[in-house]
Amino acid sequence: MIKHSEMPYVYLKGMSLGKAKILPLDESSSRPREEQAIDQVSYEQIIKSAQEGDEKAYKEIYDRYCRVVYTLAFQMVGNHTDADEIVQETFIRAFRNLRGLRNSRSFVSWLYQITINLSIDHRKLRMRRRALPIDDSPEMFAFFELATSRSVKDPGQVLENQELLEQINRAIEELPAQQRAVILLHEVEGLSKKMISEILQCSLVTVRTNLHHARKKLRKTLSRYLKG
Amino acid sequence: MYCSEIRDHLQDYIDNDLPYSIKQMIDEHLLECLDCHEEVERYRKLNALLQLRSVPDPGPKYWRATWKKIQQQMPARVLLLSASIRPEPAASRNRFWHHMMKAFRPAAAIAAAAVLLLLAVLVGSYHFYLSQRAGFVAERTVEYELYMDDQNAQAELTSSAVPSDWQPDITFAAISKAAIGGIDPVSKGVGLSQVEAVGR
Repeated sequence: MIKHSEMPYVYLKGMSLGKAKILPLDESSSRPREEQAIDQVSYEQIIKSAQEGDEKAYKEIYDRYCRVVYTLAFQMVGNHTDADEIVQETFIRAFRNLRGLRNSRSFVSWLYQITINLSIDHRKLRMRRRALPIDDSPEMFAFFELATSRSVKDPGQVLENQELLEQINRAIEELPAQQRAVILLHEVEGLSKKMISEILQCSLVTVRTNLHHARKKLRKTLSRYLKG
Repeated sequence: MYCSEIRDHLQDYIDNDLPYSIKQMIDEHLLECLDCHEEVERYRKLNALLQLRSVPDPGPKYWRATWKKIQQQMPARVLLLSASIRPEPAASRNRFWHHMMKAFRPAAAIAAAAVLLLLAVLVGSYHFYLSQRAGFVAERTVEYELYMDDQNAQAELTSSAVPSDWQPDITFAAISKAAIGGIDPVSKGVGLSQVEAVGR
């Protein structure tokens, strides 16, 4: 599993303001250090075995990361059918090019990178072909659900939730691809800005700028839900 | 700190990207300023809204079916490709020159052969030039020595024993030598003249 260490932090105006902690990626960071170290060893071993062509290692990698890849692809493209295609293509490409990965520790960010790139390409392709409408289809986001929706019984409340969900989806959908990727990776996936800069292969300043603009636009679009 | 300065830092404050001292200053400001406090709350609400958008888990059946689909594509798209690629030696994998040589191997071999050939031609030409030059210098040296001998002989004749009325003979001998080339009648001529002079 990925270790969550402290990262060097340089403020935009050129002031060095010390160090800032990265938010934990998953629950493994709260486990004892020895356990994390064992995980790290076995993780690297799995990647190496897969690089040598071990099919069991491929399966192990799939089991560990399929949900992460699916969630990210789904967040990016907004529907199950496309996300499903992206999941398959991501793993095929990852396994095919795994031999060229020099640092096995960067596997996860590399996997994220493939997923994001495929999602952006997939979306562009769909828009070009116009096989399915993207902007004005309510069924586009039909697979999303509100995290709280299962505990809601009141039909009026369910409708309100549905409307809210639609507004959030539409606001995210209107963002440019780079800003959408940054905000989803940061706010939804909980990745650090440094890791996002590695995934999107851009500078930390670009990540911060994109995040800033994305938040500004989302605040404007969703302003009625942010009052009071 | 003013509200405008605080607002410049608010996103970093929410992301917990600020050092403790600045965070503390903002905390203190937020206790006093209602507007900035509401601004922070809006950012927090936005984060909460984005996290509300959850992706349902398609379930274990879906994951198994997807793995099968990936497995079906693997022989053609992954395994064949892996088998055709020989593993690189680990020690040289990261080396720049290894990759450079791999990429430009034929070009590098041709360039090396051309350089060797050029060197051989240059060395051969230089040796030939040196040998030619040595022969030329030796010839010139012999010629020069002969010439100097003649000069010395002439100098001896003009300076000492020859009387002034024999001077035309000497001039004639010098002209004859130049005209005939190689044969040196001067010494004979001068010798005869000397004999005649002694006879008189």
